[in-house]
Amino acid sequence: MLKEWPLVAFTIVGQMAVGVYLTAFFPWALLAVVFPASAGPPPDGATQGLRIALLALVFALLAAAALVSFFHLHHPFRARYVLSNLRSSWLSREILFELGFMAFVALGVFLTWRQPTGVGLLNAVLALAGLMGIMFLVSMSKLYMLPAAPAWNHAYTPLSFIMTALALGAMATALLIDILAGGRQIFGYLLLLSFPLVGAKIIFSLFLTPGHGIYGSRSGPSLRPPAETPRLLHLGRLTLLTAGLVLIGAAIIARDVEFRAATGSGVSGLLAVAFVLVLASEVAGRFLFYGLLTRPGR
Amino acid sequence: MVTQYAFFFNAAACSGCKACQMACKDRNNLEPGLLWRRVYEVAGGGWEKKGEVWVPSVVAYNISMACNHCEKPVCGLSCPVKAIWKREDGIVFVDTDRCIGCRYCEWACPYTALRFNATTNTVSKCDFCFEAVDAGGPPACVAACPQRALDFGDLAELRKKYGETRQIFPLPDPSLTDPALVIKPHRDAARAAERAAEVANWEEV
Amino acid sequence: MKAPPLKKKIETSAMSRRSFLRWSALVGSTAAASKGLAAGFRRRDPRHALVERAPSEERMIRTGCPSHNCGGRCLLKVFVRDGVIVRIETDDRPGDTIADPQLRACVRGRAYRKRQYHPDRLKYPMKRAGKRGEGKFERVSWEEALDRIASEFKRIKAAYGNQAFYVPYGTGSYNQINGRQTAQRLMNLYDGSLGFYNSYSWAAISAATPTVYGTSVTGNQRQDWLNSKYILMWSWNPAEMRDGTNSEYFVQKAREKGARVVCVDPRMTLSAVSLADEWVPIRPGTDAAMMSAMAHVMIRENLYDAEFVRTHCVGFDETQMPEGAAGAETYKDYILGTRDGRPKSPEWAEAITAVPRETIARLAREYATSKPAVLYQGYGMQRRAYGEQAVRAGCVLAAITGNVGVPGGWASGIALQAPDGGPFWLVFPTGENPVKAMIPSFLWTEAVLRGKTMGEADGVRGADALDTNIKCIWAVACNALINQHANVNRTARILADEKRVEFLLVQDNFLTPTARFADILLPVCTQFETWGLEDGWKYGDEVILMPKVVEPPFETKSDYRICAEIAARLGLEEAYTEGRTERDWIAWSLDRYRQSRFPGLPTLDEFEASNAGVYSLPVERPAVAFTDFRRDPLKYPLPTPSGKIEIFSKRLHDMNNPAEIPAVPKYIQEWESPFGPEPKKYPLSVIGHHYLSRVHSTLEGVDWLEEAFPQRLFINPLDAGPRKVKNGDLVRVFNDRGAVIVP
Ligand SMILES: Nc1nc2c(c(=O)[nH]1)N[C@H]1C(S)=C(S)[C@@H](COP(=O)(O)OP(=O)(O)OC[C@H]3O[C@@H](n4cnc5c(=O)[nH]c(N)nc54)[C@H](O)[C@@H]3O)O[C@H]1N2
Ligand SMILES: Nc1nc2c(c(=O)[nH]1)N[C@H]1C(S)=C(S)[C@@H](COP(=O)(O)OP(=O)(O)OC[C@H]3O[C@@H](n4cnc5c(=O)[nH]c(N)nc54)[C@H](O)[C@@H]3O)O[C@H]1N2
Ligand code: SF4
Ligand code: SF4
Ligand code: SF4
Ligand code: SF4
Ligand code: SF4
Ligand SMILES: [Mo]
Repeated sequence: MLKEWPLVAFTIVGQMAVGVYLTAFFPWALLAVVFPASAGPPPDGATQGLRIALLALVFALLAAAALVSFFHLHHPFRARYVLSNLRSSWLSREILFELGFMAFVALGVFLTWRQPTGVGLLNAVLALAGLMGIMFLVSMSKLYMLPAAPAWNHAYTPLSFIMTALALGAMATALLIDILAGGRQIFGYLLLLSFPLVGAKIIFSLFLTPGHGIYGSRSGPSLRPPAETPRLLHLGRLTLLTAGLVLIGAAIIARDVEFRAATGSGVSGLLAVAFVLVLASEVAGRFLFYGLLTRPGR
Repeated sequence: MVTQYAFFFNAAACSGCKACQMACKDRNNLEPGLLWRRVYEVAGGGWEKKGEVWVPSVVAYNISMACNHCEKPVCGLSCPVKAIWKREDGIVFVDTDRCIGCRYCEWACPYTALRFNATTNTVSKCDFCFEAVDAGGPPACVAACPQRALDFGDLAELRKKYGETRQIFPLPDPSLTDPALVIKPHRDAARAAERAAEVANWEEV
Repeated sequence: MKAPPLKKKIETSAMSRRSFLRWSALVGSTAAASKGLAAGFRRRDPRHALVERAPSEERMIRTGCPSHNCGGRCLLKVFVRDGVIVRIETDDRPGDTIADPQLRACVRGRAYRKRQYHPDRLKYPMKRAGKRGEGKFERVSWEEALDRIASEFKRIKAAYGNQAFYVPYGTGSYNQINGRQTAQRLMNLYDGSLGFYNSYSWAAISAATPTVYGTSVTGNQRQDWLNSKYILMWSWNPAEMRDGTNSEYFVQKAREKGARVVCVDPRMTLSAVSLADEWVPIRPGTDAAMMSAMAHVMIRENLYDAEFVRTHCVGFDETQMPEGAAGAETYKDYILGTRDGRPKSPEWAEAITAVPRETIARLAREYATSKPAVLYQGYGMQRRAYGEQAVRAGCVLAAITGNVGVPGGWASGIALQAPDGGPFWLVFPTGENPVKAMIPSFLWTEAVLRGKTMGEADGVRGADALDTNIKCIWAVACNALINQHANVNRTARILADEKRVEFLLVQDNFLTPTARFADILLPVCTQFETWGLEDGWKYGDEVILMPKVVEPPFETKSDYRICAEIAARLGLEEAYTEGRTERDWIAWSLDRYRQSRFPGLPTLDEFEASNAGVYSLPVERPAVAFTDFRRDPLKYPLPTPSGKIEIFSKRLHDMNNPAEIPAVPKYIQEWESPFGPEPKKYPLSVIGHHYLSRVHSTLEGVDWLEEAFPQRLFINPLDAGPRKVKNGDLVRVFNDRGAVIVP
């Protein structure tokens, strides 16, 4: 289970990248492509800087994820073959979509920076990047939804991936905006969004975690050694999430107070701690996830 | 011409002696921990009080299993680098010069046939003793069985000879991979599920 | 110590496999024509690449699996490259018929390479460096070791006489020129040593069987099992303990032919799982009770073969009591409880055996009415207190159901193979032992402690009493001083005392628990590294040649060579070797086989040149023990005093110890039993069994075998539950004598 740390890191960081992108860009970009009228004026300098920073963050996360995934290969130098089996391997597809996502995000950075042909192209690129990101998430889910692995072949897998992406994404974006811009328009909306997302995660994990959740699937007899996932991970994850939720709630209240009293109230600090807690819960949850499926032998 | 090599396994006759497993290890020089063929001990049931004494309602049997060289080899279908390939005669191979060692196929195979080989840093598995088979002989495990509980041949012919059964408890649903496997069930197999049988020797397989 | 070249060799042998892997990978990456299959998948044909294969310089030699005491004798194909064994296959003679089946090796034979090239193999002669038993040794030269041995032998002979020498029971090698027999031959030439009789294996069954039948040859050739309708496997586990190569295969075939098979064993063995239709668990040590209850049912329901009992047996009831025993308790008296007031009914037996009364009654009916039937007795049930009773009770069941002397039947007892007792095991000539005194093989500890006081009551034979305690033990192919003996903590204390056993010489392949006590420890080559010859163990109709396959590594030597070199120092070299090399002795042994069971045997040169490995006599019509006796008991009487089957034994009657040696088989409560005072302190009973991954202690520590069959303790879930013992837990099993810790 612990040996899977590269996959734990890869999936969490990769999903967070998608999440940041989806919460910060994709809806607006999509809107702009579908209803060009909604596109609005070209961004001013500050917004442009913020955008570039967020896109760069997404790119950096994806690059880090890709890098860490090499640690999971036993022949990393042969990784050049990984796109060979797009016809049937979701693993090949996952890599393709990750690379595609990275490429479009990079293009997005370039276009935002240079603005060569106005916002139309940029929005199109950003919309495509979003689609790539979604496909990245889909293939990541499909990859684990193996008929041979009942513990994973379950709606739990895609749902948990999406929720991880959105919760971490919303919080990370909020934090970054807070740090970089201090401007709190989108921030407030993201902070509010984090609350139900994390809350939903708690309920979802409590009920549906395979092997541990109240209604979570229990794997039947098979030729695969039974999983020995420590229950502690499950409980730890729930505790961390709950603590995170409380802190987010506190941050929301603090932000309210801050508005009214116009004094500093440590919103950023609260949010940062909440983010760390939720991230830690994701790490625990992911180890739990890989622990559900043991490999026989050594 | 053989279009799909397959194994026959007689669960009713298998004593669980593991001569097949050892023959495989010797032929392939498999270090401890690396099993291409392995023998599962399936056991369930319990004891019931009858008057003053206890009587067993135990079910138990053995399953010797290698790779089933499936007609729908999900291992290879899921390999990102196409390092798993199927020969004209149905034998499924791992290309150890191409495998990146991602171990994804290990998850995909419902028979846990693929095993990581720390010497080559790739996955590995039964290759149907293709050299012996190509030379007209039997695979090492088949030739080893003191109970003559293993056989091999073309899937269609094995089916003619031994019937169509290709699944016994707790093997996975065969429609997942279409394993090239014919089984003669042990009498207890029919009662295994109801008596909550399980593989009882995890540390050995 | 310098790096062992063996390890290098093993690595090199692994290397060649690695280059093969590379090759097969190359095959994989050569793209060729493709044919549509499931999406993303192509079939390719690598066959063209096969010709590129490196030509093999391998040599294949057919030989016997090293002849330890495993119960099987199997044929191996050993592949040698550059003087190293690289692969082992088994018998693949075409045909594989029931009459002449392939001798397929078990898991141990297939793993033998890992024993052969085990890093812990003894490499040099050594002498003890610490206290005896401490296991500390110092390397010495062969010269020094052999000189020391010769001088100790001379000293002890002069001081105590030849009865002070003892070459204990040791079964590591039956290949003729490795093994304890080579030492016994030298001892016999050196004026002899204290002898022993009986074995650790069959002590009760080999003594009890002739009390019923007058002979130990009570078994049919095994192919005859295919003629049976019913096989009762009593304490018999041929799927794990090999009791003749192919025994379990024949049982399977008999079952496929329609025989019903039932297994009576406290443990659900692999035999119960794979060979039997039904498993009947029984409380250990109570077999005679269940057998008696079966007789009870047969008598009450008139299911026994009264006619056969009348014509072929004595002592069943008062109508056929032997002379001088009239009025003694008959078998029927005992079973019906006429005298002791306790009928040996299924109800009575249920309380003792924990087998439900209905089951006992049903098995009695099945066995008595499904004819012909086999009641096969394994040796686990007799390797315990009053083990003779179960043996005799089983023989009587076979007799009263009329299953003696008929095809498909079985007389029970030790059941050596008809018509001639089957395999010899050893033909290597040990010569006559000038010392006539013998002790039971198990009582050597007593002879060390108090030999001088031992006489007939202690089982001493060939002399009224012993003259001396044992002073010198020469253990060859023997781990029975410690590991395989009983109450080993006591044994270790006895051996550790240098004033008792003054010189202890051990020859082995490994530093065993016994070898740790050696004063001089000599490294012996394996049986792949010298010549050998073997026939079956208990059953078998073949001779297997064991040519020297590879050279002895390091400074190892064959037991024969070692003995010859000791002999030289005792002035007996010529007498010992008769000028023969190891190979010459094999030729000599082959002649012995040719003169007896195998007249058609080829010469050694032919045998070796053919590389056939085995010479077998197909069993088309299996011999059935007691056929003649069955046909005409008066013309072909048994070698018993009465000439008949002795349900009541006058000889036992005359021993005048009815409580422990009754004249008819009885259930006697063991001296440590669940019905005695012991359970208050120790509520559980433990039994052992011969484990599939070892031959006794031989092949212990072979990693492939430990992987396949980890050492373990089995406990009934009903006992484990309250003790909170779970699968995989480490447990301590203990009593007053000591403890073992097992997972
Ligand atoms: N694999 C293997 N095979 C061997 C050997 C070996 O070391 N390993 N050794 C060989 C040698 S030298 C010998 S002598 C034979 C030994 O052959 P056996 O003595 O027959 O073998 P065991 O396994 O000791 O006992 C046989 C069965 O008896 C059961 N048993 C124990 N106590 C009782 C009892 O009180 N009542 C009943 N009904 N059953 C009982 C055990 O559970 C076991 O399954 O095996 C030979 N074959
Ligand atoms: N508790 C308990 N004890 C038992 C039994 C039991 O069932 N339970 N079974 C008993 C029975 S039936 C038997 S037969 C005995 C067997 O007892 P042993 O005869 O002592 O048999 P092994 O333990 O196999 O020891 C044989 C030794 O010979 C060595 N050896 C192997 N090949 C060679 C060779 O070619 N040359 C030399 N010099 N050495 C060699 C091996 O390394 C090993 O150390 O054990 C008995 N002890
Ligand atoms: S058994 Fe597993 S490894 Fe073998 S072909 Fe089928 S899916 Fe692939
Ligand atoms: S481990 Fe090797 S064979 Fe298996 S999926 Fe990965 S690359 Fe393919
Ligand atoms: S066919 Fe060969 S490689 Fe496959 S399990 Fe049997 S012995 Fe092993
Ligand atoms: S060799 Fe035969 S009897 Fe033994 S475990 Fe394998 S399949 Fe079963
Ligand atoms: S250990 Fe005995 S049964 Fe096993 S292969 Fe060798 S001779 Fe045969
Ligand atoms: Mo024995």
